[in-house]
Amino acid sequence: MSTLKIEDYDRLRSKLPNRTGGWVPGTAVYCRGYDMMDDLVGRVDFFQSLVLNITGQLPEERFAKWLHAAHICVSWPDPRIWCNQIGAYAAMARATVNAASSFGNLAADSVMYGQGTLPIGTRLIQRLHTQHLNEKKSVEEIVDQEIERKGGKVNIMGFARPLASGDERVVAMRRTAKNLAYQDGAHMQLALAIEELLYNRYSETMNFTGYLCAFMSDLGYSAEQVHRIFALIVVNGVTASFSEEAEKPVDSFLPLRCEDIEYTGPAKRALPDMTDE
Amino acid sequence: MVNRSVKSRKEPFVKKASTNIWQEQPVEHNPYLVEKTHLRGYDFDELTQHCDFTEMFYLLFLGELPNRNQKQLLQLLLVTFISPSPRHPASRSAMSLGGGKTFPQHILPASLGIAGGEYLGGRQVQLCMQLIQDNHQIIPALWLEEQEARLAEADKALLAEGRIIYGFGQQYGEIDPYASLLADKFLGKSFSGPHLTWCAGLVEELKPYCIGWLQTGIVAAVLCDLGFPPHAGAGLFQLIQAPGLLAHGLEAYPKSRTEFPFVRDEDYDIVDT
Repeated sequence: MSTLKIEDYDRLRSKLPNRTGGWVPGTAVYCRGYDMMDDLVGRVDFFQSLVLNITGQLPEERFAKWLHAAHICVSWPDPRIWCNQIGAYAAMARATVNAASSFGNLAADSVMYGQGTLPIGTRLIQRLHTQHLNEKKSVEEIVDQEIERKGGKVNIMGFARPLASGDERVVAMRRTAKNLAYQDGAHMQLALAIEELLYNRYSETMNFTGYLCAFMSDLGYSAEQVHRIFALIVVNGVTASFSEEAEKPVDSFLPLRCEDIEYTGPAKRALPDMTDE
Repeated sequence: MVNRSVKSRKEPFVKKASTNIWQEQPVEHNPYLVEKTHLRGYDFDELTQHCDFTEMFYLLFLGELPNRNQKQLLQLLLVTFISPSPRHPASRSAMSLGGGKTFPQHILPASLGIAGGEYLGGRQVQLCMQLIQDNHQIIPALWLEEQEARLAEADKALLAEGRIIYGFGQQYGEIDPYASLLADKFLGKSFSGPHLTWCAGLVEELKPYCIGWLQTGIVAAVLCDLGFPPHAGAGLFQLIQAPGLLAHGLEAYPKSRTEFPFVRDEDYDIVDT
């Protein structure tokens, strides 16, 4: 069943084939066929090189500009946001900024918000688009089916959001995309149609995840590629929260009295005789 | 016309976080400092005098002190899986972190992250626990019969990785004999539970598919028998393996970088794409 045999494992014990690139000391550092120092450094954007590393394709400059905008608009310097809290706690614990940025960023690998929602949202809009196109399902049928799948809840990945209705990030990113001369593709058109229906029925709108997944799907990216490209999307806000709290005295970030944690467990009780067991 | 302007939902957030686990009694003159603590209702000072690690572990997570069988089962789990193999990606990460002179405080969390994966890691334990809990009322042979069509169409690589029937698969193209040995430590004992027994039955039925126990499958079954919910599986697996990961990382830390293999330039093949 395995695709590899013992002789394959033996061959790979000390040999390392790599399609992305690598360092040939004294010659060059290669990246997907480019000489990094001569062809890429100072010539392409960081996000172009990120997408190149992940997909093997060097994207156009305007896509890098769109990625920059997406990374800015989703990463806020507000320590109340769950991932940013980790940055603030890291500062309070006097952990390193790398611990803060790494683990705060990891916190957003979540099904509620952040990067963890992106592969789910991308798979969903691509699946719904296929149903819309091939099975001729109407937008109404699609919405009803997804609400039924969630036991009657309006809980469709990419639509609605915690804490507030509406989404200023979608407005900003739609404006940015327009300025970069991007047209709405088939996935975005479907997402907008779903949004319109949800808005009319429930006053809920598309959220940033829904926008991003539809946009990336229109450009042909897979769910896995989307997750990889946006792996660090909240790090900016996490580091901001770390930097703010690192300057303050320890224990000063929302300090808690003993009574501020409500104990809801068993009442005080005596230990049983431990020699019996 | 869709209006995307933002309006707070004004959700009714509670004023205080709550916990069933830990209760702190403040000193009189400073409400931030602690005078006495209780764990799950028991005086913590008394617990430290009378309980061993396994009892405290069980109490902490499950809310009650364990009976004899529960304690034996948990203790065997904790000692059997205290360390992944040094060839496990998480152990190799720990050694690489140590050998790379990463700040020592990062060795454990970074390697634990790798121990959370869907292949031989915490995520696989969680998904296996879900599979067991959803299906253990069905006789393994019948359950497998129901899965026949799905298995025939399944991606063979994923099946081997234990990512179709989570927790059961192959290592290096074969059933892992060592995992089978470890499973035997838990089977047929006074403390063996129904979930593990169901999994052992499943393993018998899976032989024609050349699929057997993965270590994650054993951990998942035992955690089910101990009464843990599936979502606890990932983190508990990481916690159980943590001592071994840290030990490998700390052992590597004082070594020089030449005491670890480094692929020679002539063996590093940049494939032309």
